[in-house]
Amino acid sequence: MSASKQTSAVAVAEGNVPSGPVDADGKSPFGEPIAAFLARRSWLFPAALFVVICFAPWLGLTPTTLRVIQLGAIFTMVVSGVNLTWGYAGELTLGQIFIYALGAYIGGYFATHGITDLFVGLAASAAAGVLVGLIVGLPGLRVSGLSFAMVSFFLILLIPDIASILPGITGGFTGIFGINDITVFGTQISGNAYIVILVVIAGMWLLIVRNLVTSEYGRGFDVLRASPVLAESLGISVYRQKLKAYVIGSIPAAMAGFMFAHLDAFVSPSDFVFATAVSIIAASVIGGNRSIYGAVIGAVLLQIGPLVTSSFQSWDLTIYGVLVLVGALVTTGGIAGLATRSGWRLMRRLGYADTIKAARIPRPADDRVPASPPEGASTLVAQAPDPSDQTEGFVEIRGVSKSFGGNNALDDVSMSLTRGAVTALIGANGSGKTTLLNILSGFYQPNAGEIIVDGTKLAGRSTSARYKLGIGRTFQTPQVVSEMAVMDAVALGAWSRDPVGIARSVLRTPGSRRALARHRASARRAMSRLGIEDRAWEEAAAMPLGTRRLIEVARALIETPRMLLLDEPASGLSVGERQALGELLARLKGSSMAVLLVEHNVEFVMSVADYACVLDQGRVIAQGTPQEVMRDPAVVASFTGRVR
Amino acid sequence: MTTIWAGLSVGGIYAIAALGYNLVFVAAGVFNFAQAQMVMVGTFMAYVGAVKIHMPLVLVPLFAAAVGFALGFVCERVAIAPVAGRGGHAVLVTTLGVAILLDGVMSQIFGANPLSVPFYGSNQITTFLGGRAAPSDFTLMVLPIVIATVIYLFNTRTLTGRAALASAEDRFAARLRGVNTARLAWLSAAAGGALAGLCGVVVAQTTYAVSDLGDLLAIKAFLVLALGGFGSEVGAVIGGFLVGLIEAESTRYLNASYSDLILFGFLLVVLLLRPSGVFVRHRVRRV
Amino acid sequence: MSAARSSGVVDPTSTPVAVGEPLLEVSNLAAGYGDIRAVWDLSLTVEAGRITVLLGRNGAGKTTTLLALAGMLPIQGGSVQLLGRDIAGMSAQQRVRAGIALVPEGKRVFHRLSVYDNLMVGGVTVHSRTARKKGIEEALDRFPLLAQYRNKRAGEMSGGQQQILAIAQALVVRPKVLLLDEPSAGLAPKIMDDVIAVVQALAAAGTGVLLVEQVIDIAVPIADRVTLIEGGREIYSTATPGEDTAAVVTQHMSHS
Repeated sequence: MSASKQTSAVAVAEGNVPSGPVDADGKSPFGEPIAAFLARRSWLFPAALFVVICFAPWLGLTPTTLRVIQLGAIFTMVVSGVNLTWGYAGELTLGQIFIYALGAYIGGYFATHGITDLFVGLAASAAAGVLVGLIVGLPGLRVSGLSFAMVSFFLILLIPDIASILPGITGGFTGIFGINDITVFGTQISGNAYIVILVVIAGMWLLIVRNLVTSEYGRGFDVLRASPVLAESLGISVYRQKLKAYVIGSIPAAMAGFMFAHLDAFVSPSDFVFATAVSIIAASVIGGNRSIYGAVIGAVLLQIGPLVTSSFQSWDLTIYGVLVLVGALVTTGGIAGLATRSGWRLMRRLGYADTIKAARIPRPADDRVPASPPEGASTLVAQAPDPSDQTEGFVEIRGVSKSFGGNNALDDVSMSLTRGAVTALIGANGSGKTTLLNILSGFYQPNAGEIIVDGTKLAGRSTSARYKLGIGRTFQTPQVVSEMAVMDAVALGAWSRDPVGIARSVLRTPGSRRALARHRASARRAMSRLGIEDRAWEEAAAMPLGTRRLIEVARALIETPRMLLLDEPASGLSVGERQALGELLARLKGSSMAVLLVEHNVEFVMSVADYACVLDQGRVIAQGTPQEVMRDPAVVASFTGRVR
Repeated sequence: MTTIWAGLSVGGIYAIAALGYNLVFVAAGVFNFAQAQMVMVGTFMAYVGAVKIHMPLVLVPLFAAAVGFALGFVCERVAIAPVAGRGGHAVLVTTLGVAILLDGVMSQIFGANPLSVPFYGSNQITTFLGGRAAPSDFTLMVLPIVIATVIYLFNTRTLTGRAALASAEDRFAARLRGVNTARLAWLSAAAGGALAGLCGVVVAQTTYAVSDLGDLLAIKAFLVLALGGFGSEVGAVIGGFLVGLIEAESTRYLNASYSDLILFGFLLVVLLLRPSGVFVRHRVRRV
Repeated sequence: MSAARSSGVVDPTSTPVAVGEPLLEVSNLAAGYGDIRAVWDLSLTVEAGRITVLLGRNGAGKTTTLLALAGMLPIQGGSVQLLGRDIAGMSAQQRVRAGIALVPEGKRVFHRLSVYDNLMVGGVTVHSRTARKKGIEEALDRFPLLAQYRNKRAGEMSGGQQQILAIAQALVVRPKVLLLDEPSAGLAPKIMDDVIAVVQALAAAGTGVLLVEQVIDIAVPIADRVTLIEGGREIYSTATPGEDTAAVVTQHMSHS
């Protein structure tokens, strides 16, 4: 669960390793500005490469090289879809070839039945890809991990079966011959034009992936990979997010298949054998599955092999096996990861690393508060306290019980939280505090009892749905995703309540840019309240424990929850940090949220809480003001010290 | 009845493969993808032993088991131990690599065509309860039950078995008590390999020795485990027979091409309705 | 709860140690998780027949210390000696054999195994079948409650029973030094008293005990030595705990 364990080599290269000695003499005076310019516009490199490849047919290349480019473009799309599901959403998919084959058969069937239009074909194959993605993903992703990998592996086996069941469509084992050229607006496309169109489609797909994974939406993938628990508690449904990644990743596979049908004007089951399926996995491993352009590297490399050596065919499985095994053992993030790391090392040696790092931080203008607050955006934390606003019974917890095996963790717990007040939940370790918190945020289902927040019953609602209802929380061990700036780690809290959909994220619409600015502005506000604003662009996971706790509190507060659950927020904080937290909690009094504070530190509870509730052995033994509770003999005996 | 015997004997093969996966899964907590490929290697070892070097027939299973043991050990050391504790499907990917490698090497050495392996007993088809089957078919029906019983008794009666169950449940606590989980891991992988090799000899009677057997078995064994629940011996045996029966019946009434499609649909429905397995009542999950 | 039998704990095969003889000597220990260091500089001693109590707030490094001593986390600096023998390079298993056993936080018994099988796993490092059996029978004798439920699944027992089983599991190997991580957490006062009585009885029988506790008023009165840590460093230590010790510790734990 610990995010820091997952710190990848990239993060280490960027954040934790001190920069090498700067050789000022060796640098030209223009180096710094150029490096900064290119760092801000790193997309220039793939864009330039893309333009060159578009002109490949006229560069006098050998037919073999052109063939590598075409197959490379086709498999880039397939592998990129695998990477989206595997590298980003964390679910290994082994059967992408099935969707690829589906696209190819659609291409073959359409062309031999008079439908040659490129756009119709692409749309039909994309739709088929989505359909298969849903049929396989809906059940397959119910149990994540191994299960989905094997379900998708099963698909490889089904290709020859389906080909033989539907000979009328697939041509059975002989396949479909004489596939006509595609047409664009009625014009036949063949030869060089076909190559250009293929490369453009692959390039556009990569642009889509890039926009998606670098957007706020894409950051959700990093969260669910690092900690599904955190993702759910931030309103991101792990299941739905993974399903979306798989379905989206199926689209390029199907389109690639469609284009493949027109490459040789011939499709047969022998194009979709086990070795091809395995080559896709190998390409993903070797290229680097958590990289936008790793797919290109992997796809091209795996196409070169069979074309340069004629003896490759008989050794193909052996070679793919070695590539998958060694690739997974030795490299982190494949060749793309390796290249990124060497790139940083080179830049450090040249003395440009800090310049580049600084240039990649968005300028303050990018997250300035929008001129007019958008509808629905909250400003509540900033509101002045209004003691008259307190509503008793805002949150009702009635008769909640929970047992694990033979252990009663909670036994008929009833308590109510007042809006605009801080209620402390105290008790010894193991008294059931965290269990109650987990029930409130939906990680556990209680055996009995009900919870009502502002008139809404919580029973049957998932954790992510509860977040959207306004239940925010922090964790005992701060859950902070690696490779993420403090700013973005805090802004995560805003995303699911003010979401930007996939389409808008990919298209980078003005609305999505405004949403990002809005989220960052709220994040900045929340950070400044806790005094961590000056660390906005440092790596969140590298912060000391105290700061990581405050990041969590800021993240939970950013979109004013209705109920805020704080799990020991003060432990591990320095005196100053604790003070800032205490002041913040004092300001929350009179706000529209009910705060439930789980805390060990009696002193801290006495100073910030309006009410206190003491748990012992999963039972409530006292409720009232902190002062009343602390005088209660039962409490004195159970918590502050036992009378012997 | 003949279809039922056929289904049960094929199901027996799947159950055997699933039991191998289970063995490693319980003791080492990993899904060693290459487990099914070791059954495939076992079939080739049966061919080598019995046909190529004319080993005394009694020694053939021992030879195949020894090769399997060594393979399992090497696989654990090379592909599983180095990535232990690394998340993100690391073990699944490395063992998949080993599986593909074994596929490639075996097809390179022995070619793609199935090689027949002679059976020790008679090849006489006998009629039993109104159905016809070969003696090897009956062996395949009984063998998984024997293996499941042995594994069950081992786990509940021996110290090592209990240590395996304990570390399957809580590795950390098991290590604290002095369970050598690293040794348990390679031991179980090697034992899984030996079991696979041994069974490969029996399986070869029905399937012949063929290099793409492993991938098929991996899928079917997973299907069995998805049905029976990971870690359950009884579930693996019942699940295996069930999958075999469905396959045999759909082949009989429809066509062989439909059987995998039907099983796939069956798997999707199971995952949708009972994600933790049909024969597992519920799982204790510690957070 | 039955009182400990004095014969039950001292390993007959080793030379008996006198009460007060240092068993575990930790000096300048540094330990942590990967590159995150949680314990920076900690020295303490555990003596035969005595209870050393390690106190500190959440996150002070108590559990890290115990895990490092038990071989579950690497020792990054300092020395750890058991009866004069350096154990820093030993695996967790070797340390159990050497006579150091940790009962972790949170009643971590094996739910699917029976009480008796849990104790079997507790004795997994004991090669001789008879010695193992003897250790198990001793543990069962010490806790009649467990003897009564020997065939019950651990998962079906109550929290207090599980905690006692967890301690009994660690005792099967007859450790010289017992490390206990918050044994009273989540237990009813009555059971808590039982557990503390067990700890005292073990010490009385010659075992060295290193106890991590949250409830000061339980731990300090039974302590022979008290060490208070903060941020992975020792900030207070005494070999003669008294009224003032409880006051110092309470002061630290409840203030910032």
